[in-house]
Amino acid sequence: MQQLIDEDFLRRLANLRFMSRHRQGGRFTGGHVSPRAGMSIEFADYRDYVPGDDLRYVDWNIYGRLERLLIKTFVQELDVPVYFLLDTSASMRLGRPPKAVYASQLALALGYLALRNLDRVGLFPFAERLAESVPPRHGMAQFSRFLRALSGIDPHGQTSLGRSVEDFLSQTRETGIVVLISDFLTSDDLREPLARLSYRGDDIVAIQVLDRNDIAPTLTGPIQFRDVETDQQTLLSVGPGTLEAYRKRFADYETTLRREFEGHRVPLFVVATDHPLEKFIHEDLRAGGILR
Amino acid sequence: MSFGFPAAFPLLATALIVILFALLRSRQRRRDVATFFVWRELRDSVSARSQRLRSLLDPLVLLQLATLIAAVFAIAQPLWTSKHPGFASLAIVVDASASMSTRTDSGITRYEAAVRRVDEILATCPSSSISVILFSKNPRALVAGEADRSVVSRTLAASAPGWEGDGEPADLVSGLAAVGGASAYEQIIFLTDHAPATVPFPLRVETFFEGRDIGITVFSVRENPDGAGVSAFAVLTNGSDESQSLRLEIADETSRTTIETFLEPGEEAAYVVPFPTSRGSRFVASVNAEDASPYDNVRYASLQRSIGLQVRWIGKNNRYLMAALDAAAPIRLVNALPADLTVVYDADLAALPDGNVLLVHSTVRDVITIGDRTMAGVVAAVADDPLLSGIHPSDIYAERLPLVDVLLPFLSLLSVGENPFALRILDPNRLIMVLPSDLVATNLPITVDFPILVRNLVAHIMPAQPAAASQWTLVGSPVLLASRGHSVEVLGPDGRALALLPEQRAFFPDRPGQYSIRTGGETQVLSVNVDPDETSSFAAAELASTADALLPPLSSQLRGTQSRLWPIVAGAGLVLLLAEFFLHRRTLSERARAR
Repeated sequence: MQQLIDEDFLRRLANLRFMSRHRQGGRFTGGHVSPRAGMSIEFADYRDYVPGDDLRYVDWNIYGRLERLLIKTFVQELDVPVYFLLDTSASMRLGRPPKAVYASQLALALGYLALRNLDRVGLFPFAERLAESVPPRHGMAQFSRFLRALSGIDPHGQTSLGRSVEDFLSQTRETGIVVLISDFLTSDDLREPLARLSYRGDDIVAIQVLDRNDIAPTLTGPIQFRDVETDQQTLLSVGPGTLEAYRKRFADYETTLRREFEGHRVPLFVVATDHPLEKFIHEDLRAGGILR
Repeated sequence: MSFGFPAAFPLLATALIVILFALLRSRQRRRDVATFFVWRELRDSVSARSQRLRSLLDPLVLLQLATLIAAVFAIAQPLWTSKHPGFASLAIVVDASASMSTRTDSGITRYEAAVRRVDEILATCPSSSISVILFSKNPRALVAGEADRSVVSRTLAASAPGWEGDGEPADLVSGLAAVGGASAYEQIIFLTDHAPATVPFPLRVETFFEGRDIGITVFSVRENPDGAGVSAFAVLTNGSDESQSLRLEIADETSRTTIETFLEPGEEAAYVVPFPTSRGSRFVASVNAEDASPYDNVRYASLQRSIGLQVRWIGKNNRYLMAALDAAAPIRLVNALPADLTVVYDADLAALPDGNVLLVHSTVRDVITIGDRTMAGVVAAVADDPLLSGIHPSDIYAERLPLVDVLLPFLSLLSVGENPFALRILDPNRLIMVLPSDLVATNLPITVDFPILVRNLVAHIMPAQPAAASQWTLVGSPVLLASRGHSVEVLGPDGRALALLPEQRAFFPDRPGQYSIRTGGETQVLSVNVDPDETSSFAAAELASTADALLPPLSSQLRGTQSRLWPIVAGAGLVLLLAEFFLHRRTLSERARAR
C-alpha cells in the first residue's frame, strides 16, 4: 500500500466519484442512475397504473383531483462494475517511474473512488492475453485484493489488445465502465478490439500512460535499440535530425491513435509518468468528465 | 616513406583493446524501448540511412583508433623521402680564368655561356641552396648559400672573368671551403673550358669550349753569353681548326723584329729572334691573330741587364772612348773607387791607380813615361791575345805615336814598328792596358775595331757575370715587394700608380702588361702575362666536347629529401586526442540530459 500509493492521497480523492456517460444497469444499489425506475428517494416521473403495480406508489392526490391512477416512479441508483483493463506487457516496465507503476497507482486511485462509490471494481491485467483477474466486487475488502493484485504485477510479454479484449468480454457479461490503461505503443491494429468493447455498450475510458522518453527521447549517438516486448534490435546513430524525425513520427502516431479512439467515442487521456498523478486525476479526468 | 624505428608497429595491436572497449561500450549503449516500431521506421527511412551507417563507425572509436595509430606512427619515426628535380644544396664553380673570355661562334664569351648554363641549372633546382664560386688561381665565393635564384642569377650576370690562369685542385678545395666545404653540397658542378685531369672530390664537369684560340704560349728573352745583345724565344700555337698565316713581332724599347709564318691547325712553332744590339729591359711579343681570345696575342718580358760598368774617369773627356764603353755595356761614372775600370785620359798620375786601368796618352810617375818623339805608321799585331779578338790591326794607322817607357813588365799587343801602340802590363790580379797615343792622333776612333777593342776590354774585366734571362710572372700571382728593398711605388701597365698600403709587402697584378716597381735606388720592370696554359688547343676542344656528350642531363636527376614526420604525426595524434576528449565530454553531457 505504502509502496504503491499513500493514504493521504486516497483521502484527497474521497470527494470524487466516477461519472458514467451511459446509464448502466447494475445488479445492486449503487451510486449510478439506472435506466430503470427504481426505489430511490429521487422522484423521476409518473406513469399509468397497470395491474400488478405496487399500490404503494399510486399518487392518491392526483387520483383525487383527476380520477386517474398514476404510479410515481423514482430514479433507480444502481452500482456499476468498473473494469480496469491494465496493460502489463513488457513495455510498461519502462519509464521513470515505470509506466506499470504509474498505471497501477492510477488504477488503484480510480478503483478506490469506485469502491467508495459503492461500485464493484474488477482488475483485468493483460499482455498477450488476459492474465489472472480480480473479479468485480463491492467493499473495501475488494480494495485489498485490488491492491495485492496490482502489487504483484510483473510486466512482461507482448501486448495483444485484441485477444485480451476477447478474453475480457468472454469473462464479463455485465456492461460497465471499462478503464483501459496502457501505453498503446504497439503496432497492432486497435480498431477491432475497440469496436468490440464499444459494441457491448461499455463506458470506455482510455488512459495512455507514456514515459517522457517515449514522447521526446533525447538520446544521441549510436544506440542499439531493443524492443522490450519482441526483443528485436536495431542499431541507429541518433542525432538531432533523427530525434526530430522521431518526434514527428510519434506525433503522427498519437494523432492516429486519438482518431481511432474518437471514432469509437472513447475518450483518450494521455499522461506522462513524470506528470503528478493527483494533478492528472483532479484536473485532467475531471475536466474530461470522467470524474466529478 | 621509411621508418626510423619500425619495431614500434607491433604496438598497433593495442588497437584491439580499443575495439574491445568500444564493443563493450556499444553493449552498454543498448536501449530498451517501447516505441521500437517508430525507431524501425526511422531506420528504414532514407534520411536515417546515413545515421545508421555512421552508427557502424562510432566517431569516438574512430578518433581513439586514429589517435593510437598516430602515436604508433610517431614512435616509429616516419621519414618522408620526397623526390624532385634538383638538389638540396648545390655548388656551382664557374671558371673565371682568362680563357673564359674567349668569344664563341655565337658571339658571346665562354663565361657568358657558362652564366646562361647556370640559369638553366637554377631552373631545374627550384628549392636548392646555391653557392657560386668563381674559380681561377685566386678563387672567390660570389654567392654563398643563396636560396633566391634571382639573386644568384643577377650576381653572376654582373660578374666577369679575370686575366688569371686556372687554379689548382687545391684552389678548388679552398674556394669551396669559403662556402662551407665540398662535403656541404649534394652536388658540385664545375663549368669550365679546361676539364681538370684530377679533381679532389666528385663533381660534375661541364665544358664550354667554343671559340678557337691562336696565341703566343712561350716568350722569353735572354742576354747572349758573349754580351752581344739578347735573343728572344717565342712559341706560337694555332689552336684553331684552320691554317693561319701569322706575323710575329718582337720589340724591345728601341727596335722591333717581325717574322711572317704559317701554321697548320693545332701546330706549334718556336722562333728565336736575335737582338744583337739590344740594350733594353722591356720586351713585347705580339701576333696579329684575329681570334676569339686576344689575351694571349701579346706577351711581355723584362730583362734585368747584367752588364753594367762603374767607370772612374781621370783626365780629359773623350767622347769616342765614352761611346765605345757605353756601347759595350751600360756604364755609370763614379768619382772614387771602387770602380770596375779607371780610365785615365791624357793625364799625368803620381801613382798607378788600383784596379783595372786603361791609360790613354797618360803617364805615371816612375812607371810609364811618354817621350816627345813620335812616329807614324800602320799598326801590326805583336801578340795573340783575347783582347785583340776580332781586331784587324792593319786597318789602324797612327799618325803620331809617342815612344813610351814602361818600367814594369808588360806585353806589347799592337805596335808600329818597335814602338808599342797598345800594351798590357803583366799583373795577374788586374788588367792594366796602355794606349800611348792620343786617340785623335790615330784613326782608331773611326774604325770598327775600336768598339770591338773596348768591348773585349770590358768583357775581360767582367768575365764572371752570367748572361741574364728575362723574367715574367702570371696575372694573379703574388709579387713580393719586401724582397725588392724599400718600395716607393708600383706603376701599372698604364703608367698609373697602384694603391698600396705603406706596410704592404706584396701585390697581385690583375692584368697583363709591364709594371714598374720603383725602389729607393732604381726602377725594376716586372712583366706580367696571362697564363700560357689558358691558350686552348684544338685537341682539348675535341676532348671537351666528347666529355660533355657523356654527361647525363642534369634535369633528369631527382633528389631525395628526407623529412622527419614524427612531430607532425605526434601533433596530429594530440589533436585527435583532444577531439576525442571533447566529443566524449559532449556525449556524456547529452546522456546526462537524457537521463
